[in-house]
Amino acid sequence: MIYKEQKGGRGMMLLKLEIGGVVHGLEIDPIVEIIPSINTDPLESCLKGVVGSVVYRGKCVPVLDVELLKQGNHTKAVLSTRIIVVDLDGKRVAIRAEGVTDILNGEENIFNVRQVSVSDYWTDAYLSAV
Amino acid sequence: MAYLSPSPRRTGEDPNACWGRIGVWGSGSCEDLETFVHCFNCPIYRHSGKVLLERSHPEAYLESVKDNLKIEAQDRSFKQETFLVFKLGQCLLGILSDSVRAVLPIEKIHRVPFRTNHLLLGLVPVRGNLRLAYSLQSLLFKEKKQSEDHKDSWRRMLLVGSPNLSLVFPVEDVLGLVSVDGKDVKPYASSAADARWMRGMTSNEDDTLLLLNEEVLIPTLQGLRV
Repeated sequence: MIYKEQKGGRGMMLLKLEIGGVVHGLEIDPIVEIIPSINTDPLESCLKGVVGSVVYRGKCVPVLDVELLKQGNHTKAVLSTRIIVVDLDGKRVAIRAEGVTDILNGEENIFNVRQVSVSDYWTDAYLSAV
Repeated sequence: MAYLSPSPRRTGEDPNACWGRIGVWGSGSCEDLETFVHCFNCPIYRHSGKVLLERSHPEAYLESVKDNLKIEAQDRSFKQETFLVFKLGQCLLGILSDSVRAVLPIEKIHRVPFRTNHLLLGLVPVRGNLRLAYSLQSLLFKEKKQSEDHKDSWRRMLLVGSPNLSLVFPVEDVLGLVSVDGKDVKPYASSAADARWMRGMTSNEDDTLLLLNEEVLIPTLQGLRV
């Protein structure tokens, strides 16, 4: 479970992930759940990076591999690679990323981290296509 | 002057579980302990933990997760919450797991001159920080015994509260976590403990579980001038 703001207010919180070995901070607002990187079921898609789908709480959710989208390589099959289930305006989609191990908050130096949002990957064109 | 072991952080050698050899779980001779006080604060310990996440998944684990995710989320009109269950005297008590920061082995409680009494037990070092320790027996059961009367029965300490303002409560034993549905929580109606600090009660197997109201308990103790 991710707490956006604890009592006393600690400012912005980002989910740490790595793309091509570079640390990125993903906005946490749309995140529903972070799950282990389970095997995806095949999904017919011509969208670059979309590797398949997972059944999440009884519903089929498409999974976008950000490593594949940005670097052209599949994510490593290790414990720190996780699937991040997000809610974008009522639509459930997921992102698979490496190095999902930390929450970065305002107490740490987050200014050296590249801040990204889910819509950078799941663009409107992608959302309408799945 | 005691001999200090060189830290793998400075020498660059493989840590080889240095926390168990020269750290707080070993001889305690690591030179970096002067800086970090506890291995929890050392970057070598933190990095070693993260290395564990670079292992591959056990296949059976992934399959079990996949099966669990297939189950549709149940529509719950009542909120389900998880409580840490612990034993204190004859009572089973539960505290919301979100408010518990750590369960620790019992440490020596250091008296505070002119301040220690039946409620405020003293100061306890927790991961390099000093925390105030309070007696739940005194608060809940209005016992006036001093800490020496209880110390043989205490086996664990609960660190409760926010990161900046955590309090320590010694308890007899920690029994684990239970999930409690809101509809199963009944209003508190028992003379076992002071009702001011309770949010309700529920049944846990054959016992009655008294649920602490940490939203009242913690701010009250933090604001107390003892």
